[in-house]
Amino acid sequence: MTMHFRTLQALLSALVGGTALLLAVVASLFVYSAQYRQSAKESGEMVQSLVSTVERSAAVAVFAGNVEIATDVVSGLLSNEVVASATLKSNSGILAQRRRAEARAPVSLYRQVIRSPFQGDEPIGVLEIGSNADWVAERARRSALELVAWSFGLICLSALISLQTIRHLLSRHLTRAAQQLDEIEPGSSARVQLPQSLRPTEVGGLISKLNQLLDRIALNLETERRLRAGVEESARELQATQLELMRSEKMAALGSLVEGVAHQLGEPIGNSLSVVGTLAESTQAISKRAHDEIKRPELDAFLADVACGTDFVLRNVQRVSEFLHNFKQVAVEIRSEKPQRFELRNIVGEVLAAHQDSCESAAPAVVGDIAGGIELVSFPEPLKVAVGNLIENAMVHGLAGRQTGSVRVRGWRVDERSVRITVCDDGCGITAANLPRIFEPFFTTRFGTGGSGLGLYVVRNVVENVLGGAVHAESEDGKGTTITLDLPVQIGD
Amino acid sequence: MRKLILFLFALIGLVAPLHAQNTRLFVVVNAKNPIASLSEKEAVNLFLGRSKTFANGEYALPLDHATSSAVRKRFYYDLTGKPISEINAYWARLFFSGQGTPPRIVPDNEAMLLIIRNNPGAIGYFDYEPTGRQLKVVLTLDSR
Repeated sequence: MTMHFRTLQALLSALVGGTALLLAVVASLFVYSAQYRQSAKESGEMVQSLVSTVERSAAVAVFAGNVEIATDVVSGLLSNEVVASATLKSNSGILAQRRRAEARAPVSLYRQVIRSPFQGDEPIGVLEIGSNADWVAERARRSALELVAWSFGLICLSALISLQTIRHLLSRHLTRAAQQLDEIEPGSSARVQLPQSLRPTEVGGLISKLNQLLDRIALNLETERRLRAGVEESARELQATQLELMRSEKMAALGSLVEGVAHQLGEPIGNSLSVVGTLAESTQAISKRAHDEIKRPELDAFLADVACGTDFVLRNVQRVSEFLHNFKQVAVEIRSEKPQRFELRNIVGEVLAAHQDSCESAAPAVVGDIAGGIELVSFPEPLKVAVGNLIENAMVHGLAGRQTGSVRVRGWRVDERSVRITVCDDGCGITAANLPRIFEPFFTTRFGTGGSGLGLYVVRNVVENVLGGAVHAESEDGKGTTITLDLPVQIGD
Repeated sequence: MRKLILFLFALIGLVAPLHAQNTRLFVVVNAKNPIASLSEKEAVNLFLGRSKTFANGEYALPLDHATSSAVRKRFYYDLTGKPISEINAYWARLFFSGQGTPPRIVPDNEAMLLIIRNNPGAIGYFDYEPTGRQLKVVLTLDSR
């Protein structure tokens, strides 16, 4: 059983009271036994002194055979409480005998030989005195009780005094300190106050430690406040910088987009324009002649020009159309159609087959290595575009102009929720300076030789925006390139 | 020479009894009393009231000198070794208990001698050896 004390005073009261009681009980036992021994010893001494007091009278009584004096002696002895029984015997028989009615058996019997008062040491009788055991015990008990009562009283009194002192010195101040502490706001300059007299004590030490703690808390709070202000300030600055950066990035992207589009479209359209202009002039000239007469060679030459011109314009317009087709893929978005369930190996197989059909047999091999049984719920067409673009990119850039080398497409399940597809070539690789920029739109190392700079940009767009995955490239200049796609198994997961 | 030594012995023999007469006490009874001698213990018992009779059963009548007399003081001292005050206290104690009576006090030696001569149970004491046919010394007490 555990007891709970709500105040220090109650706890101390219980402790001190219990201790006092225990001490009193132990002391009473100890004192009683000591007093009993003492009392027994004293009663012996008292009997001895009584004997020496009555010895002469007893001697006279025995000597003269005087029953009255003998009775007187014995009665006198019994008037002392320490005596339980007394017997005076002469040589010829008992002269007088008395026994206390209520007494139990005597503790001990004192025998005093009575000698003749007039004739040397001749023994003439015996005085037997039994001491009163009850009285001895009672006396010991009384004096033990008295002592214990006194000591208990004194202990209680001193406990009361010390409790009052503790209440006065400790509890009151501790309660007040707790109140003060309750009112102090963390970080404020207020501190717990304590009277001067208690400062060098343990309480003073405690309170001063508490105040030091409050100081430290205040310091920490101030530091934290400053730090937070600094962080907020820099966050604001960072945000502003980011916005600025984004704006300029957007502008730059727009600029490069516009530049790229203008470049891509400018040449074929310009070419077509001049050819169509030439054709228009030729047509005007021939139509003037048509009113007069047209010579056969002139007509033939005009027709040849028209055929050549239209062919040229057609090719240029085709280039524009192709470019616009590519360009449209950039802006591909999640279509309204639902994701489909498909086998990854089948989709990649289709891409590889389409690629095989479109290029010469001498080109480097493209190897598919896709683990079976990987089912995706995603958009197959954009995935085909991405993989196709990656293969195309590997062929055009990594293995450009080579007869040997290979492109390897691998695919496997990483865990329950994602698959990884890598497209790996052992071609010329990408320089460290170019590597971070390859996914930017219109970034191309083959500007003007047919590269639109949109291939990998489209891949990134498709993977990040449509398929919900991530793409990154690893390359070492001269040792090939690996592009990794991490895709979720279930779109929208 | 031998006569001289004998004279000296005779002188000592004469002087010694004279000296002894001053230091000794004599307990005397009537000549008709059958006892030949008395022990000190018997004397104590008779004079301090413990025994009322002689050894032969004859009733005893102990006699005492005046309370303040020197011979009484000497007698009890030589007999018991106790001071006279103790003897007086003893008798006072017995007297108040109503039992036992102290020896009868006689005014002088002559009165004591008279009572002893006329009373076969009487017993008294003297600081000299009384003479007379009706008297018998039964105990001689040496000075302590």
